[in-house]
Amino acid sequence: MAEPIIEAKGIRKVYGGVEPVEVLHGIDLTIRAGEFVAVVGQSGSGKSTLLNILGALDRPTEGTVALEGVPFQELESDDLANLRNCKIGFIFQYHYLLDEFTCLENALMPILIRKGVPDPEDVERVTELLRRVGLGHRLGNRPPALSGGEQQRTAVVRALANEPRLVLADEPTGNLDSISGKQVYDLMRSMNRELGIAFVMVTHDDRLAREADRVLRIQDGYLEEA
Amino acid sequence: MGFELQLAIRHLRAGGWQTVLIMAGVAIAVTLVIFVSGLIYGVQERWLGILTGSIAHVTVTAPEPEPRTLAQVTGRSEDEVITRVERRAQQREEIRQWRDFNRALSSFPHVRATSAAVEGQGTLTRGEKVTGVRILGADPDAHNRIIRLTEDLIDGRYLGLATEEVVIGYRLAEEMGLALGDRARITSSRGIEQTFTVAGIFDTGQEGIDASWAFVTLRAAQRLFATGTAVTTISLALDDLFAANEVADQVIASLGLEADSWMRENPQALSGLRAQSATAFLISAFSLIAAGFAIASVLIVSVLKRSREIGILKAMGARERQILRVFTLEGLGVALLGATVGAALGIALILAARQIPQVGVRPGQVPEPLLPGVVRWQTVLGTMGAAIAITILASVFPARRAARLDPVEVIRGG
Repeated sequence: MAEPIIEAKGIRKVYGGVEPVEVLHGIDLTIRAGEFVAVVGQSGSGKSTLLNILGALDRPTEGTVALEGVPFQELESDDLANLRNCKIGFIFQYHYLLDEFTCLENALMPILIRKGVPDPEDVERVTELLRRVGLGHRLGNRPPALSGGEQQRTAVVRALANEPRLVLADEPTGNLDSISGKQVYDLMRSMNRELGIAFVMVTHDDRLAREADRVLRIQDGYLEEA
Repeated sequence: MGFELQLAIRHLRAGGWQTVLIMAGVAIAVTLVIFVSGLIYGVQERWLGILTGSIAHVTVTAPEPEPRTLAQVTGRSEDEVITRVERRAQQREEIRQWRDFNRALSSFPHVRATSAAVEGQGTLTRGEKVTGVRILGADPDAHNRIIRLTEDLIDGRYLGLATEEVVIGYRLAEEMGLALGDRARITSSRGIEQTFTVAGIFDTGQEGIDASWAFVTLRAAQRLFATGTAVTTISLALDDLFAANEVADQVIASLGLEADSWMRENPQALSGLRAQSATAFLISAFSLIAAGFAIASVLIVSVLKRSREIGILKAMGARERQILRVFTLEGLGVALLGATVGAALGIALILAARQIPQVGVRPGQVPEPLLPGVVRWQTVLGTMGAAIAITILASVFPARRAARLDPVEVIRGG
């Protein structure tokens, strides 16, 4: 069995306020290297919350998360930022590309954040990835000039730019028509297989979920294998 | 810094008209400050030039002897004698060892030039006409270093004046119907008279001087006032106008002579200058603060507009201080460009305003600029520095707001 990439133990998440709501009730989860995991569940069941906690964007009320054995709670905010930058890739329902940057520059964004100026090897690698997803002719275009599918494919390459160990995708095909959605899914799947990157994908699409290695269902704040 | 700088530049470029407007705001504020203070300083400089150019900065005289009271003379107690002290009628005491004092005064700090003179009242008579004049006799070379009379001459000469020659103001010349080469009689308050030839006519711009002063040689004045070889005043010119009080006090303390500074003799002028400077400062401060508020509000809108983008950048590993730097750099970029354009415009306006000549000058006189603005580099650089500092300050609040955005909140919000 492959080594675990991320391990979550006893994750509870309570949203405060006058009437506190417990969204996650003690979830245990292990994702191994190279796995492609789909997380399904109804709206508001806590799928995105779990993903944000796994991605070090949100802190659990209780429980621990460790990426490659390093527990998040021991890290300062700068270290967490560094971890998100180098080890985790994010894909959201909306692409959130920066309109002022070209397709290639957007895909290079995590490297720009880390290094300021990308090395020629970085540019070469990311350009190659963009070519592979059919965006070779779009490198110099700005996001508004790209189609919805092209924008989301750029966002997928951006998530892979820093060669992360784990990619967290929150309904990556939710905004796309079924053909573009399938293209994006196939792209993620091939990156998962070829580069051995672990994927956790939250989706509403049961057909896509069935193609994953493992499907997890969140129901009433509990996680179960589907 | 590469990422932050790139992002800031792209934001500013993408801002288009918004960026241009905010820069214009900074530029207009800087232009206004440089132009207004340039004009005010220019007017002050011209005014100070007129005021102090034709008078000595410090005038040194012999101390007036205090009248002694009967009690002091007889050695009796003040209770036994009734005394009423009355000052002597105006009469200048003489400085006898003036060459020694002159040498000592030359070595005082800030003293640029000294000139020993005999000053007094008299009358000028030409035919039937008689008018009161103030006579000043000094070595023309030395005295010209104090008041630069040669610069104010509109006819004739002052340097190389002979003992029987006089230089008078154009108002006095007009009143008495005198022209170059004409002769007039001067009678001193001591009753001594001599006939002089008009060798020069000046226009200092100060009515009082132009209408009643007569400049003669030291020798001639010594004869008119029968002072022998003594003088009545030593005039000082300083390299720093505003050190006059300090120098006067030093003269009193160390030489035991009387000394008056132009500042003490013209207190209204000084308070006028201070009021002008305060006005210039207030206008500058308010313009820059207004520009600061404009920048802050535009940047806050920019942060709100970009909050989702900021959230995503933070999710991708951008640190708080990187985001802080992006928006501070935006402010700095706006400030640098705005301040530079504003400074160039301000300087151009001052130089352009100087081209407008004054109207209604006397024929033959070179017209001075109507708005005599001066470009002072310390003002230009100071204003640019202040504008940049205020812009950075104005960008700190929106930048901190951006840096603290919670990526989860903004991503979920979208």
